[in-house]
Amino acid sequence: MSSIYFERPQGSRDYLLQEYEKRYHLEQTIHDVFSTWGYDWLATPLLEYEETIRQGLHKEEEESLYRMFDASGRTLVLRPEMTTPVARVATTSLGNVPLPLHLAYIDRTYRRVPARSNESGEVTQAGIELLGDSAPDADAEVLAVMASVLQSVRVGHFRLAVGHTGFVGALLQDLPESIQQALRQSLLRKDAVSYEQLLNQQKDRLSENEYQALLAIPGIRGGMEAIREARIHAIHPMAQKACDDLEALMEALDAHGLAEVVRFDLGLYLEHDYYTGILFEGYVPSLGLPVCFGGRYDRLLERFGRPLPATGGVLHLERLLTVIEEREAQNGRYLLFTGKKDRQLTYSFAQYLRQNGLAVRVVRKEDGQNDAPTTAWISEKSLHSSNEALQTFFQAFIAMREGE
Amino acid sequence: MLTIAMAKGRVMKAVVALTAQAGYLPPENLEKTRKLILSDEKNHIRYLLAKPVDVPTYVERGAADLGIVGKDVLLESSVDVHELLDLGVGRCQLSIAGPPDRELDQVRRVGTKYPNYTRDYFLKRNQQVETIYLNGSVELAPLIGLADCIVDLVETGRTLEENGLVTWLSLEDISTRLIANRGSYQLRAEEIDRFTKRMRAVL
Repeated sequence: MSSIYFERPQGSRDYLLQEYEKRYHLEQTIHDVFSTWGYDWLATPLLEYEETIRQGLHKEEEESLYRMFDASGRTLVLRPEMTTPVARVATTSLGNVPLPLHLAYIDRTYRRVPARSNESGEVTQAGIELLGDSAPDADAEVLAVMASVLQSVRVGHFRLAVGHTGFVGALLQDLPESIQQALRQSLLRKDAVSYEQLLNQQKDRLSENEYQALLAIPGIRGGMEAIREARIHAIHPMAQKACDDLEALMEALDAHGLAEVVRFDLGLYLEHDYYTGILFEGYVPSLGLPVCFGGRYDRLLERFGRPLPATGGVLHLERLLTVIEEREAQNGRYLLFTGKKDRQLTYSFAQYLRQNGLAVRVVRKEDGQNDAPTTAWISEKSLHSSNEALQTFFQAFIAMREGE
Repeated sequence: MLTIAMAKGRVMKAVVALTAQAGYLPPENLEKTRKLILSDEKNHIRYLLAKPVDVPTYVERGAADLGIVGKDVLLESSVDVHELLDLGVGRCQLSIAGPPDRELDQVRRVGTKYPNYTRDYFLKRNQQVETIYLNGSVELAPLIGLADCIVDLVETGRTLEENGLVTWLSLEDISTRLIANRGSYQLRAEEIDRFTKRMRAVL
C-alpha cells in the first residue's frame, strides 16, 4: 500500500457534493442581489501583469503574491484581489462607457498564506464597484447592497462597522512618516495597547489637543453620538470633512432603512493604502473575521490614467459559507434501472423526466427489482415503481408518445 | 451574556483582584474551583477557565468574546483579535539570555517555549537559527549544551543568575492583556465597551 498522502496545497480546500451545491447556491443568490441592484457583470483574467497589480498593492502584500513568467519573461501574478483588475478595465476597455459605472463580479483571488495560518489563500471575492460618483450616497449604496446580500443569505444578526481614512489621516499628518506608519500598523492589527504605547512615546511632539484626539480614536464608536464625539477631536479641517462625510453617509443609510445595522468605528483601518475616505467591514455572529469589507478609493484609477472617484465592497465567499445554514436537500434524485431490452424506452423516459426538471440517473441492471420509492424500471411497456409521481409522469409520457 | 476566557496560572489572582475592583466579582474563587465554566448571573458574564495558550484560540474562534492572557502567549500565537487593554499585571520581560561569555551573533540553536516568535525574531535579524521547543526549565538548555541561548520570560532574573546565565537583550515588555474577538467587538460593542471602560477605570 502506498504511504503517500496526496494533500491539497496549503491554504486551499475542496468543495465536494453538498458543499459544492451550497456554494453554487450562495453564488447565485449574490448574483441575483447584485443584478437586481442594476449592476453590470464582468470577469477578468486570473493572471495579470505585475505592473497592473502593483498599482493597488500594499508594501506588506509583496510577499504574498504568486508570481510566474510569460514566454517573453514578463512577470505575471495571480490576482490577489479584484478591485485593481476592475480599475484596469474601467480605464481601458470601458473607458468610453458613460459614467457612473456599476460593476459586479464573483471571481477567485489568490494569496500565499503564512504556514501557521488557518486562513484560506484561495478567496472568492463577490464584489461591486461604483465608479464615477463621489457622493456619500454612492458609499451608502455599496453598504446597502452588502446588507441586501447578508439579508438574502440569512446570516441572522449582522453589523457594518464604518470608519474614515481622512479622520485618522488628518490627526496623524503632523507626525514623522515612520511614526505614522507604526501607528497605522497598530490600528490595522487592532492593537489598541501598542497604539497607546507608541502615542505616549510621542507625547512631546504633540500638543495636548492633538494627543487627546489621537488617543481617543480607537474608542470612538457607536451611532450619531460617535460623530459628535469625533467632532470634538476633529482639530483639522480634513477631520471635520471626514465627519461631514460620515454624517451624510448615515443620513443616506437611514433613508435605506439601515441605520440600525451600521455602527461607526473611527479606529477602523484597512490593509489597502488606496482607500481615501469611508471604509467598512461587515461582521456576523460566531465568526472572528469580517465577511465583507470595502470603501472609497478616489486615487486608484488615476494611477491608470483616468482620475475617477470610486467606491466598492466585496464579500468573502468562503467565510460567508461557514456561517450560512445548510441548504435544505434538493428534490431527490431518481434511479431508473434498465437492461438491454427496454433501454430505448427507458432513455427516452429519463430524458422526458429531465425536461420536467427532475434529476434522473439511469443505472444498468438486468434485473431491475428494487423497492425504494425513488427507483423505477420499465418492462413490457409499463413502469414498475411505488412512486406515484413517477407513475403520473409515465402515463403522460406514454400518452405523449402515442399522440405523436 | 459576555463570555470571558481567563488564563489560569500565576497572574490569575491579580487579575481577579482587578475585575472584582471593577465590580465584576466572580461567583466562586476562580483559583480554587475545579469547574471550567462559571456563570455570574448578576453581571451577565460567563467565565471560561483555560490554559493560557488556549485563550487566544478561544477568542479568535469566537468560543469566548473576551480573553485575559499574557502578551507572551499572544506574541507566540499571532492570532487575529483585538487587543483592548493592558491590565498592567504580570509584568516581566521576554528576553534572550545565555552564558556571559557568548555572543548573540554566534547563536545557532535557541531553546524556548516560544518557537514561532523566536524564529521570526532571528529572521528579522537575518539570522537563521534552529529553535528547540522546551516546555519548562528552559534555563537548563544552555547548561547541558542543548542550546546556545534561550528566549524566555524574565521576571527578577534570579533563576538566570542562580544558573550562571545573564540577560543578553530584552525583547518585549510583557503584561496581561484584555483581548476581544473581532466579530464580538462589533456585534456586542456596547457590552464590551462597558466592560473595558470599567476595567480601565481601576488600572
